[in-house]
Amino acid sequence: MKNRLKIAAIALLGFSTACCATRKGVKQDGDASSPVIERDTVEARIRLMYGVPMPDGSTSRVLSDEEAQTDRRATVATDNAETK
Amino acid sequence: MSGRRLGLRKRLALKLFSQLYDDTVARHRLSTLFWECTLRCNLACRHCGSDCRADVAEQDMPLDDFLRVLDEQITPHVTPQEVLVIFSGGEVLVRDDLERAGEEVTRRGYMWGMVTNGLALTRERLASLVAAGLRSISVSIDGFEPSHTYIRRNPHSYARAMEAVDHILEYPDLAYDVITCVTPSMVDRLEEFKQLLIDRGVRHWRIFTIFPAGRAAADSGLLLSEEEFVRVLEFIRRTRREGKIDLCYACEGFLGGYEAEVRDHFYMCAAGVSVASIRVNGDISGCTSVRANYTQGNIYHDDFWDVWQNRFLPFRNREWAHTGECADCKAWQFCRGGGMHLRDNDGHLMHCHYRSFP
Repeated sequence: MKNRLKIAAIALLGFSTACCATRKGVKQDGDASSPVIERDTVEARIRLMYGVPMPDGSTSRVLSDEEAQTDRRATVATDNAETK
Repeated sequence: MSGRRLGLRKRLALKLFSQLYDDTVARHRLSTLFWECTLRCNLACRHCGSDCRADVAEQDMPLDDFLRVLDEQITPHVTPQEVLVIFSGGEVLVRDDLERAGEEVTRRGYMWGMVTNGLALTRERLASLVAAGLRSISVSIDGFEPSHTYIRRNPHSYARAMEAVDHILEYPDLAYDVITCVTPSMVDRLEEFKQLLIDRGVRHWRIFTIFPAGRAAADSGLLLSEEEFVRVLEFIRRTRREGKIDLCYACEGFLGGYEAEVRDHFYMCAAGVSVASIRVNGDISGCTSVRANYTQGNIYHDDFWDVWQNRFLPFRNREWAHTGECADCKAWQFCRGGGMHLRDNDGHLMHCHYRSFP
């Protein structure tokens, strides 16, 4: 099973906030149509024993159109699961 | 569900997550790099996991040595913007070239952060650190003054740490959290302390507890009973549902039925998987919390990137730990033997939260 399907399945089981997630964002220049998605990974969320919180937006990067489309589908699946 | 009981839904989710974890291990993308820049410290805490003292024999690592490794062996292989460098100690504020270190790391595109006991974090020092690119900071406050002072052993440490938090809150773009080591004297006062933090303006809080090993094993003032530990987890779960303050339990160990309820993620040990450290003597290892000897190389005679790519097997394949009390444990598939910092030099598990649940 592809990773995105696994993530979607975990979300469907009710644990979307406990696993990898994606959320849409906008570039800092305010261009809302830009295909920028803040990628929020489990690694970024772990607060290590002697560590510090990951700075906000630190893992964002511009995705390719194809990546962005895939991420949008995962986001929709996650959102749908959360509203159920 | 709580304690050792895992519901079907959570079990299925954990099973899927463990497959994702395998993929994370296979990729082992470096996302956090600790630089243990000093072992000197201005406190001598009872529970300290580092080997720090005011008069340590180990010299601070020269900044240029660290920058050489960053420039020649790490930067060519990573996207600096995606790697968080954490200055670690000892107490990092004892280094007077910390700002220069921050500026150099920032200039190379990395984010950086630091953990402090707050004793030396004046408003002016924080301003200079922020000017040097500081992006994230954690301050240790171990509860109300008597509990904090019992651990920190300095009568001024509580007031200074609280002031440090006030200074930090003046920077809305700075990521932060307050770290609390919960000891028995604080278990019944967590609600009260939570309110104090909220009233002070704190919105991010992290709790950890001490497991019975080393110096801590003989100190009843530090160790929670199993029943107290469960009460702490129940408090965290309740507080998270309440939503007034962002609270989580530290990364330590698999928590059975509490998984996904006291942290923002399912348990995984990231040491050697996405986290590496360069110790004060140049040793290359996983998290700085791993105090047993799982050193994989040394920057003074190994190439960091070669070590990261080709060693770290004890961190990435935990089958060696599938013995002893883990051998027949049903949770093995989810926890893989617990955090690396819970293993001693011989690989024995020093403590298992899951097994200790009533």
